[in-house]
Amino acid sequence: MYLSRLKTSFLAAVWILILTFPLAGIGTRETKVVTGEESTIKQELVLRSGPFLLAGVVFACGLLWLGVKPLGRVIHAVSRRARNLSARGGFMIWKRVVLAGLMLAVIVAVLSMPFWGSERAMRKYVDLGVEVWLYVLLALGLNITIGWTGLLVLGYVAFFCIGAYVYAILSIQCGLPFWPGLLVGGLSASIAGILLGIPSLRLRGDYLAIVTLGFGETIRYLMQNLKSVTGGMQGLPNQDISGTIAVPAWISDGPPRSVHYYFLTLTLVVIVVLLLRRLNNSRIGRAWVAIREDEVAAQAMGINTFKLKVLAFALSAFVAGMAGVVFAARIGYFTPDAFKFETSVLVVAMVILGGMGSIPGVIAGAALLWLIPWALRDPIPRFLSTHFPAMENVGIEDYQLAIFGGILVLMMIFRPQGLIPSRRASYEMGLEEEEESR
Amino acid sequence: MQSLFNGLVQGAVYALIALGYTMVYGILRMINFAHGEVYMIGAYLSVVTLSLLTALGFAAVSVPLCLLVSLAVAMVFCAAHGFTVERAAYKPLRQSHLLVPLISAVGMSTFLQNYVMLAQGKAPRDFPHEFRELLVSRTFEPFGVRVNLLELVILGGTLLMLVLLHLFVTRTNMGKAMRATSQDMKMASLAGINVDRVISVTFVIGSALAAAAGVMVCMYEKNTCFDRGYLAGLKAFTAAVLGGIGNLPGAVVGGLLLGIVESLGIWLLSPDYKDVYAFIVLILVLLVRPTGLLGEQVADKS
Amino acid sequence: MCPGHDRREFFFSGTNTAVPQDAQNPTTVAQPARPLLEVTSLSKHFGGLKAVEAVDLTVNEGAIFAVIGPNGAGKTTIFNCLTGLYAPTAGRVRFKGRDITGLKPHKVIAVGMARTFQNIRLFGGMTVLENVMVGTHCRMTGGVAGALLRTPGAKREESWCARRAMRLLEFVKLEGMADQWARNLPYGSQRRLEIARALAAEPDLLLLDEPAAGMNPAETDELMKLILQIRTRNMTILLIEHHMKVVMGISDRIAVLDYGMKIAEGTPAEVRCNPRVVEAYLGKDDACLEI
Repeated sequence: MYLSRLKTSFLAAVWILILTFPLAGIGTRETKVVTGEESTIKQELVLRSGPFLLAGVVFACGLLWLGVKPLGRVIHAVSRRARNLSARGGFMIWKRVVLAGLMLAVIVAVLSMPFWGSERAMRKYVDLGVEVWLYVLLALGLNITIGWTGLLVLGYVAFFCIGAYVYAILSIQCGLPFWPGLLVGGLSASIAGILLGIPSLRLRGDYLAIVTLGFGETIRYLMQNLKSVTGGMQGLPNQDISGTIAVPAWISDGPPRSVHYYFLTLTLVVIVVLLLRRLNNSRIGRAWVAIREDEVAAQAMGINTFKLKVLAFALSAFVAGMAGVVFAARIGYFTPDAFKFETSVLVVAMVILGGMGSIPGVIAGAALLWLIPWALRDPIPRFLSTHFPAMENVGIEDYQLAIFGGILVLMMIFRPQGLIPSRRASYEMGLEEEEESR
Repeated sequence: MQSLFNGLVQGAVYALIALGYTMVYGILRMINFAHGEVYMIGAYLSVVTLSLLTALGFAAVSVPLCLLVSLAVAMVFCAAHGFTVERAAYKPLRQSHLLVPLISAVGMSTFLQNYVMLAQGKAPRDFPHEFRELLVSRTFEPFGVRVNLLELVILGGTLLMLVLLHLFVTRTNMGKAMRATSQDMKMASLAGINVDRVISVTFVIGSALAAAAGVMVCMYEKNTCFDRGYLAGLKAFTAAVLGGIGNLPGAVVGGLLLGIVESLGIWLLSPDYKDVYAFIVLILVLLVRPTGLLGEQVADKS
Repeated sequence: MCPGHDRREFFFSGTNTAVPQDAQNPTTVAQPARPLLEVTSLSKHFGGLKAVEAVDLTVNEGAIFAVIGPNGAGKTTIFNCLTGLYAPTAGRVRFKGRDITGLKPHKVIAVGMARTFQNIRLFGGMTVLENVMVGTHCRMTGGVAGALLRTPGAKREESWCARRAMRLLEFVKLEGMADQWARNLPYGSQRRLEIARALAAEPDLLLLDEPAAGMNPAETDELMKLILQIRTRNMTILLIEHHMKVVMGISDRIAVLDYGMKIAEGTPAEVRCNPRVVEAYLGKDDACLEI
């Protein structure tokens, strides 16, 4: 059996080698040849190590798989033991204590983070923290549609974009202050969500994915081309919108501006989490999950599926719109390029990685997917530039997406329920065999 | 007239890609988001093959032959890509909830797109000039419409492949198996059809067609870039939905219609919104006929 | 959105509930012959296929009415037309004297007609209790604002809903499984859970689509008891069933469908020896259906 697996992984590696060879293996090098007066550019073909590397990775994964399978069985047995123990009580208390301790530590760390270390280091981390919280907000919002209601929305960034532009434009042209702006941005995204939802939510799930994707692109094109209103690709002028959160004097006199945004985003996250939890355990939340599980049965049980799906859309868009307002206010200057399809995919990846429908999972997913690339932003480009010589100036964003794509596929295959699965979703997504065998 | 004709050419390409979406959808009921990427890979493959052939000195021998070779290479390798994508990313998920393979497909699409970017760089790659020249330089002017040979090749090639596909689906055993599988996968497998093989063949054919489209468009638009597949795939999918997804003639009608609408939109309204027209048409059509133009009403059995 | 006036609280008539109850209870068990559901010349065609053709049915209040027929006779199609999942091609459906033809499914249940499905359609990823709570959806009014602010009204409604669901689980003997995943229940329990979920909507008419399918004899007996028990709670039952023992054992009237058309109707004894029925089921020679 092991031998056959070995053979399979070897064959897979060879297959990948052949498959990737034309694109990744053959590179061109352009050299200028100067002969007397005229210079011609001569194209030279070079061999690259890329495909060999990929094939190696595939082979190594195959080998690893050989070891992982029995290991997985051991882990499974141990965890089942632990579960049985915890079911008997006793163990439960310790688990709770440890969990509570961890939670406390995380809370203290999150709250005190802006006050660590030197001014310069702090600024760097605080900015990072704001970004993380913004993405957590987006992921929480998207979780309403994808995780709970089971609607795949692939143009989520459009609502973020609408929130940002509405606030920026209104604050420049009419001097709209931040706090009402937060509401206005959220509401306008919400209205856009309803307008999009009314025609498209009657469709099957996969049509919906494509329509929302198209919507996301359409919004971006509009922002690019309505130059008189949005400034097109030049973006909007910045001086008027940044740094205008109205806060009591005792706050504004204290720490620097980026710390305000840190706590602003953190507060928003906390509020949204609290509200979403309430919603999840209500008539509305149950109806959403029922729609995800079986739409026909949900309808037959008296749920107005269309209305509830529009509602999910509207709420989810509202959260994104608010996040957009905060984004616009903080960054001050942005162009339509900030709202590409990639961002939508990133947020989807966050929700999936963390665990669809699970609030802690989604938060963890968003934080991980933003922090890991950030932590790796130096070592990986260095590695890549040695092995893919054509890519000397590859930045973090460049390989990030390829990895996200891979993560999505691998997660779907190996752990569709996410890192921290929701109590409900884990069963929906295919964990049941394991439970039944218990 | 001119813009109508351009729309027709563009539409033929959409139709070719849309066929891949529709075939996969008909059988697996899922959107193969990675299909647009396969189309883009096809374009890259032809460019790479041609520059390889040039470097090896074959270009001097026969330019048309080199073009055909590159087309063949692109189609074969894309078919292999399609096959691999299905095996790696979709097959393990066949029993899961509807959303699961869909997300996997989105992931695959993102992965392939960025893999090509890492391998071939961010800048667009030009289609080798001397090969393009062969087809573009010859123009005709019937009925006051400027037409070059390449455009005729695109139309003719599309037509040829449609006819071949139609014959394949209606006349061969494999085609019959495909139709049976799209009706009811479980029944088909009970009737002794190797469903896995049918699905693989579907992906292989769809990818090869997309590759052909990729090569031709790459010639038409002079170059290709790693992010072209995403938009083209999106529009082709729109075309498939327009015509009624799962329906082969529907994909062709939808593709042609979309191409014409787009070029009319550019001509009559504004070229700035070139890529938006497709979605507006999509939403309008779905509002009126959720099953697409040629789609039939399917009873939802409860 | 819920009609409050015809609410009947069989399972839970405590006085401290948040939801208003009707004091009067107009119907009693022994008051027959008032039609609750009247179906006139109902047809449903799928393209050229006439799944249901000009079927008339009248279900009286308090009855257990069974619809039987060979596979593909159009029984489930009738259910789907009644509950709004299909729009009938022709014909009228009157329920409690009101024309409900073509009403949307979620409205049909609010009017008082709840159903189960032939191939069980539970919300597998929700708990047993939550499944029943979803059934109460149309009898609740709580909206987003109530849930977000957790107003006293919303809280009260929520706990009312949970307690009621628990009562219903006790009624179908699933109270010990309240926290299990619906998907993990054994088959017979899933059927009972589906019934409980439908009962949660407080229907006047309960539509059961092959409730005994796949059950073993013991489970079937339990089910028959359960159905009779539901009837004593003043509910009318429309039943599709293949299991002859169930059909003949509990129903008051039986309609027989074949190829989309009603070929017979009557009491179990009448139907059993009706030559057309026997022919449809067994072929020409036999005299009566063996039970």
